[in-house]
Amino acid sequence: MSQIHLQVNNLSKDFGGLRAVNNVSFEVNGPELIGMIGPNGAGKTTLTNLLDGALIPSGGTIYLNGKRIDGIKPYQVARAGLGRTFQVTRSFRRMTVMENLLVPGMALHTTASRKAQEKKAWEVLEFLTFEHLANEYARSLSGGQQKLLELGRLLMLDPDIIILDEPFAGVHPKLMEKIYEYITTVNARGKAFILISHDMDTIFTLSKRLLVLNFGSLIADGTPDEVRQDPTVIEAYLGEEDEEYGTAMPVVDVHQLVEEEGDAS
Amino acid sequence: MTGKIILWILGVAGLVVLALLPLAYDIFPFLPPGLLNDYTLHVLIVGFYYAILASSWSLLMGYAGQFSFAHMAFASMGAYASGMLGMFLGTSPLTGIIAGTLLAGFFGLIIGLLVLRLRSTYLALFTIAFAEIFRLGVNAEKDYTGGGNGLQMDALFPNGVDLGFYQFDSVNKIPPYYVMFFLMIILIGLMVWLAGTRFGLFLKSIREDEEAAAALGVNVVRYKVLVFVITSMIAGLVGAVRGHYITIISPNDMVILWMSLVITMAVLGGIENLIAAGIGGIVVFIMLEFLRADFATTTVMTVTLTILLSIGLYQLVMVVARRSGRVMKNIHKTLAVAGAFVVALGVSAAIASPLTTLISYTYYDFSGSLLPETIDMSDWRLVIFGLILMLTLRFSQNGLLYPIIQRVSRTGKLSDTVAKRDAARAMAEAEA
Amino acid sequence: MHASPLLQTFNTGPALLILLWVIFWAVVGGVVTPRVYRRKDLDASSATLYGAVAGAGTGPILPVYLWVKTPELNWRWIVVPSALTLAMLIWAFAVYDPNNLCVNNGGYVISQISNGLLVGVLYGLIALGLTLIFSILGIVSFAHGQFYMIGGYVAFFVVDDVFGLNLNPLLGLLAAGLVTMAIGIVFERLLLRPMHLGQIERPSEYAILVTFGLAFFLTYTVQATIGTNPRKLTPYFPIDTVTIGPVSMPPSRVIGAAIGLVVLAILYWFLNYTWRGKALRAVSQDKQAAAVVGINPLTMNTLAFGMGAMLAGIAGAALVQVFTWAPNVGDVASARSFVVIVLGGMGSLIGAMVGGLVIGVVEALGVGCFPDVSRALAYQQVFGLVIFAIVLLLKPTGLFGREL
Ligand SMILES: Nc1ncnc2c1ncn2[C@@H]1O[C@H](COP(=O)(O)OP(=O)(O)OP(=O)(O)O)[C@@H](O)[C@H]1O
Ligand SMILES: [Mg+2]
Repeated sequence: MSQIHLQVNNLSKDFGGLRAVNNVSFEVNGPELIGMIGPNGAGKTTLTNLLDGALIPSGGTIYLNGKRIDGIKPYQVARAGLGRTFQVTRSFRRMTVMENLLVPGMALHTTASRKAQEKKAWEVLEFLTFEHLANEYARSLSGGQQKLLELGRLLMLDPDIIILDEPFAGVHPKLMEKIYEYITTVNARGKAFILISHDMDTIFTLSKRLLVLNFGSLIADGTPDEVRQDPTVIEAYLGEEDEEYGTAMPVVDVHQLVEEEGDAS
Repeated sequence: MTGKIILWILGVAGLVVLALLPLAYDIFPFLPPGLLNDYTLHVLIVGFYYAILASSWSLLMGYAGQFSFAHMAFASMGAYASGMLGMFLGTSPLTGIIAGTLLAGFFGLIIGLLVLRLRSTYLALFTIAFAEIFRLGVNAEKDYTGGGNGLQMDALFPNGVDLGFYQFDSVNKIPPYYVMFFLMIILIGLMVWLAGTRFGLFLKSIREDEEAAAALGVNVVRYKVLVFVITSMIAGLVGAVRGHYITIISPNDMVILWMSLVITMAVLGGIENLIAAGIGGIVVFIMLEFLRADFATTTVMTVTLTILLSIGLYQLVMVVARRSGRVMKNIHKTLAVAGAFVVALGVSAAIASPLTTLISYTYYDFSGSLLPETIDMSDWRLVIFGLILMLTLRFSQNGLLYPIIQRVSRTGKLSDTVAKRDAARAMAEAEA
Repeated sequence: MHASPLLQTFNTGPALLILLWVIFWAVVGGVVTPRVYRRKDLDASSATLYGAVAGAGTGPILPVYLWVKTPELNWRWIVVPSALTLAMLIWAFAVYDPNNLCVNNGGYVISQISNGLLVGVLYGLIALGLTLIFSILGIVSFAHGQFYMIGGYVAFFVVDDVFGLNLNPLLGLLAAGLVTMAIGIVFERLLLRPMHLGQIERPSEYAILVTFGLAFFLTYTVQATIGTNPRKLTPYFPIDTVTIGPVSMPPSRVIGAAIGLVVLAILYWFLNYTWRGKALRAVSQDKQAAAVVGINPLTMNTLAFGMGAMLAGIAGAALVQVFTWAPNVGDVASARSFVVIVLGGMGSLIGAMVGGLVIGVVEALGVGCFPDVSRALAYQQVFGLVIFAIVLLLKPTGLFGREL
């Protein structure tokens, strides 16, 4: 497999007068596991939408493995090797779990037989320990199971870079473990991850590198330790002394998180 | 024997019966006369036509989630294209039908591209606008389309059909019967096949969530436009064939009533299953024709009243039950339905006759027409279908036929699934 | 094919040139402007539309200004160019058909416009209920025209002497309102409420289909019980034709419009000065917040649907003395109401009235100015429908609609 390389140059996005993403540049080299944090409204979801082609940037360029992907359609971006989940779960509710998995499989391999894709889907189901649900409608799955199903669909798409928008929001600790495992396993198989989360514990332990967004700008990019010391980050979050981390860390309001669950991104 | 096999046998048997129907007297000379005549064949031909329309509308609506009120307009467009080509250039029906199909497909492409951004209500409104503009335009451009007087079209086989051993003249119903019958099999077969391929899979994913589908690599634009093109072409094709069969078309073929009927057919059959929708088309059309004839008015009144009353009673029972804080199990509900039905039937049977007299009196008195013996059912049958449409939507969103098909086809599988689920549960418990 | 000899008197060539000029600059403006804005890192979301209108209205002048100065694109940059575009199109039309009454007879135009406005009030009145329903329930009722039709019939039977009732027109209006409101409330309770309780799988499709089913049911119930014979009522009040200068307005329409304005005033009072009315407005603005302060949204849904149906019924009662009545008048009324509320902006009451006026004028001018008189009337609805389709495609929120 060729080397994974994502390059984002001076990416911007305006909504009317509001600059939601401002001159963001960064690179992803190889199968990195990157965390992305930032207060509510910092522009994380917007950045994801820009990378995935759902939004057209107001300025800047994006290259994935040498191919320019800004300004092309989301489905082309997906085929070029960038997959994402949504902040609010978006499974195909009136399709079975198997059909949900087949969609990306068949979309990616335009000549593949359904049989071959089904075989692959069974492997994914096994990985998710979901075999018994194959013929259930997605709408009859629990919220957590639907989240896993979304991750399963990404496995079928098999992208180089996977962006997960708040995978841990509203998730039971047990399922959290499972998602955690998913991320580390798939990462070990050579996929890069960009992980958006407000769950500081998890994101600081899981990722090797952190991107911090604030008011649309990238204010820090470095290892968790570097970011923790970074004065701009400390200032941006206006955090108080946090016992666990020693320095200022954002205080995440649980109620806010719960409320956010219902929000459309 | 699993349910799937039963369904297959039923389906094939049904098709064989339909295929042999015109030859019934040749095969079974002992059948009583009058069972099969031109009228019966006509009803079936038009029934097949509606089956194709209902089925293709379901592909658009049930599979792709694209709400369109323009389906009849596309059918008429195919017919007008063929009719006008025949009239002004003297082309043969076959050429005309092909041209009509292509024209409908072309407009389907344009509409499909235009409405990419519109969803549900807005899409429904836009397609109504398109259909109405087309209908009013045809109505207005009398010089070209014949306007409200309609457009004369050649017979499907202007010179009849010569099989060597047997000749059919141009007005014989048997050739069009087979044309429409095989069109139905081929077109619905084609759509069922398409629905089973990646095409159908992608359409469903687009219906469920466009953005998510796109993020997973589905070329949303292509499939949305494609489904418009395909269904418009199918509508245009059968519209043109029907035009040549009836030999006269008019803007009245496009009034909202016919679109309502196609929708009713698809909904009653089940919009998520193309075959169920198709069967819905045939059945509803046959029932409509059946009800048109001098069907005993009282019976119809009884049926209508029974439906209305049983629903009212059922709702009443439920409300009372809820007020008194009682938990209704499924068995109670079933009992309530049955009870409501029996009571309603009794009451309706008792009052239907006097009510009929009253209605027929008022009806003819108001409209000032002559006083025949029975009510003209041509309006009441539509009332009944309007009612059934609303009730089906409310109480059985997947239609009346599709749930039955689903249940039958699952009979063999059910135990299998249950066993699997139990095994999984056991495993999960063991883990914990 | 069967070209009428009249066709020879039209100056097709020069008119086509003007049209091509307009189209050319519209395309240039529409294509180039967003690129310029994007190049300069500015918000280009509405640049296509604004650029196209600027080009259509002013040729190269305004587009070049936009490219050089790239001002922030707000309503200022579209109102004047739209008017100029309209002027260009009128000019093209005048060149094309110089003998048209609309081109060489100002009085005729004024009388067409005022009659259009008069009918427009009535169109607005019909559509009011539909937009009210949309603003509260978030659905478009496809049975709206049927309530209008039924209202008309109820008033007819109350006021006319078929039944020997011969009652006061005001009672006719009242009866029409009550009957349609009752039907609306029953329907909402039985078939729409389950949707809001989450008992229905695909709510938006369901709403369309079930109201459509209701339309079907009501149309044919009426047709089956009272037949298709057209009926017409004499004007409610014996007044003379109103004549102002070149404009003469038939009494029935003046009465209809007057009723419409009174109903509008009452509705305004209801929405602004009664608790229920304010509650309705609260729900239309923010369902959750309204629920928090103790307004039951389900009750409001029923009320809104009942009122919407009632407004349609009263509109029917007001118009049964203007138009000939048959069970299918509902279809046309529905279609026209869709046009009106989409143009005005779905959910906006003011929008419905303004949309009604615009459509009234458009239809009057369309019919009055159509070059071929023999087909003009057949196209009456098409003029509105074309505008409708364009609005749906370019700006689904209409003139006064909120961004969804
Ligand atoms: N389609 C849009 N139109 C206008 N403004 C938008 C749009 N989408 C996002 N915004 C604005 O852009 C800003 C960034 O939003 P975004 O959703 O990217 O934040 P986020 O970092 O994902 O926040 P959260 O942590 O709450 O998910 C917000 O101020 C938001 O209001
Ligand atoms: Mg977000």
